[in-house]
Amino acid sequence: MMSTLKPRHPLYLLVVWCVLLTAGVVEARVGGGESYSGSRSSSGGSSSGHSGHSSGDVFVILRLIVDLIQLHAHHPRLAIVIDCVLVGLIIFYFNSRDDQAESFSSQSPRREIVSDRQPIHERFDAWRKYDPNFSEHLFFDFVMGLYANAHMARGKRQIAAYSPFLSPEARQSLAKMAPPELAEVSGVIVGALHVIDVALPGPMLRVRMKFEANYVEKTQDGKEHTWYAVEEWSFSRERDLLSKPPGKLQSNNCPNCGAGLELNPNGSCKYCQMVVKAGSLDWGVDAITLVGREQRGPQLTTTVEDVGRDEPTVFQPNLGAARTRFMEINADFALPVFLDRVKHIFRELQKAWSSRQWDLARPYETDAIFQTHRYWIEAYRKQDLRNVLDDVKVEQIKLVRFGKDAFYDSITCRIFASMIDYVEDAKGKVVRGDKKTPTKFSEYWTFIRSRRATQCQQPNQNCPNCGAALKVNMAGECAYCGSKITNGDFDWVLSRIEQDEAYSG
Amino acid sequence: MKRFLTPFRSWLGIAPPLDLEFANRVECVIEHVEAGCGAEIVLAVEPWSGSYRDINYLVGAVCSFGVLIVILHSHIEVHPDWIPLELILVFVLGSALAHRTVLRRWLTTTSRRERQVQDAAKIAFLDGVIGTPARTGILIFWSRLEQRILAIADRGVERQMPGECWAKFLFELRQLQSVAEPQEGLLKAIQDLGTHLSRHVPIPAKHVRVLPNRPRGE
Repeated sequence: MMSTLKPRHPLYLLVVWCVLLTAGVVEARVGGGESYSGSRSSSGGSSSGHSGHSSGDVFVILRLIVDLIQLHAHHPRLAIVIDCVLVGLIIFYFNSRDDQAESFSSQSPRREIVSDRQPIHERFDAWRKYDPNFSEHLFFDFVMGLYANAHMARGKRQIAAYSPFLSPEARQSLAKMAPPELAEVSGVIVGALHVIDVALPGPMLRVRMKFEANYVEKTQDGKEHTWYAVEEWSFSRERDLLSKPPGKLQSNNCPNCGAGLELNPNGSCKYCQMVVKAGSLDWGVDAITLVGREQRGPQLTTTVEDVGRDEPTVFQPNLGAARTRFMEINADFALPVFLDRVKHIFRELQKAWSSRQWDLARPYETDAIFQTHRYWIEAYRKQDLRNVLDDVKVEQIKLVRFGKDAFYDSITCRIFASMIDYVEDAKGKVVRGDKKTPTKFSEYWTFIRSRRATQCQQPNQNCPNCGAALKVNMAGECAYCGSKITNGDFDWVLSRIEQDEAYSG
Repeated sequence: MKRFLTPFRSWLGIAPPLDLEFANRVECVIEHVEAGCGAEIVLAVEPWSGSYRDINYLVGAVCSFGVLIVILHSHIEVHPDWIPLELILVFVLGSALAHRTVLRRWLTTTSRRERQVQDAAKIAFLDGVIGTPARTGILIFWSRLEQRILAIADRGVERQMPGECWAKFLFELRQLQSVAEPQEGLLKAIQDLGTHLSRHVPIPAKHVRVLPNRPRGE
């Protein structure tokens, strides 16, 4: 594309200043040595009594320009420095104006952009240029598994066994959380996983995550304490590695050979004899910060108003193109069938939540989000509370994003719904909410499905693989055919729920 | 002479043109791969992508300005009437130097080069690869100045080939970008791709090949 020199183009400005600079000097040096004869301005007293009048300001500016030109003749070196500074400022000014110019496209609807909520997906997309196998879903599953394994290892004083995944600093931080009387850590459940920061790809890929979790610590005298902890973990990995496929990215296996994680005294793997440094072959934890922990559980009786329902929907910027591409690749995808699946999962999850029988939700959620929800179910149970959800109605479903990585397709929907939502204690007294007035709200739900899967022909109440009545164990496997149906291999499953104010696209 | 010029040109970043032997080998490899699958592969090799005219002008201007400073501050007597001509000549020479060397890479940001290569690859794909009957075209786009090798697959290949296999191929291409002479690696990557294509993109009935196998571009 031709690049034309527009009047405000930095190169144009540079040329203009160079001409101004050299014109004065050339006259003074070349062609006979004529000296510049512009009269020197007297310092001080030249501008007086002009404040408050615009014509006076213009006079001052013109005077400054004349002085600057004269400076070229008398003090050219100083003038060059001033010129460079001025040119740099002008270029910076125009460049910053260009950055602020908004672009407009008729293809995608405009949305309010909150400056501090850059879509995480865009950062992960930048990572995929170096690691095309990178999958957010697999990565989140991995970090949650590593978190649980690391804490359980802390209880057994076997933190060193995870040295391929934990840097020395991270191991030290974990060791500090293990008092001498600690005997065991169990029941680790991650209630929420937040991505704090995703760095742009450099020689290392870096991401910081925040965990809200609970676990049970058992001391040597047999006493158990449940802790609700908030921790920040920093992960990093060499950039030029190819992520492992599903099933291979696990924190219980050697990152080099894939065998079970067993180390020799010198820190090398028992099977491949390799000493793996955290982050060199797979994700490693650089640092762990305990933000806080307490024995008191989350506040479940405080009413939190849903304020995001009226916010405009955040659509993917190129939604039309992404949707078309998805439909072309998945020719057997039927939108009405998918929407039925979404409504079915929505209703089943609310039912399971109300009854605190969370195993009813197992067939419809990935491992990660199932664990997350278990955290909250357990929190309610411990406080003898029940969050009742009745008269669930799905009002509208908007498709907002079509995503994909090497292994999964994902569709994010904004679900507008209403329900009777209240919390009652063991005696049936309502401690939060209203038994009569429905609450209206909306949330962004992300569903994933394996890219190898095709349109499921089984009804939602049956196993998507064998068609038997749906009965799933805690590992997400069908009781009849043994297939793991919760990883999206056969049908759409829920992977993530985000609130309106937290969703950034 | 060639033995003297080659390291000098390499230092300046002037990539020698691809020889006929490489073009022949690419054609053979692609023919062999296509014989076992329903996809059609096109390799496009471009010396650079997009326009770097602004960089050429910038280098020309800087050279010109440098010469002017030398004229003004040195003891060389130069008649004033010749100065504009000399400056213009130096500007042209400086621009030409930038146009043919690696200066364009040194003086541009990575993001700008990536963007230009992606745009050029998309244009090349839409220009000639998208028209296959079964939408099974694959474009491998190598832009030599930017040291970038991209691959774009049409819908038919995306539909049939597992994402993992395609991601592995992209990863192999990415690794080649840091290699000075990636020709051998590129041939191997195409052969590896052929293994996956033969497994996942079968030859359809009444398959008609419409894209040439010879590399395009240089």
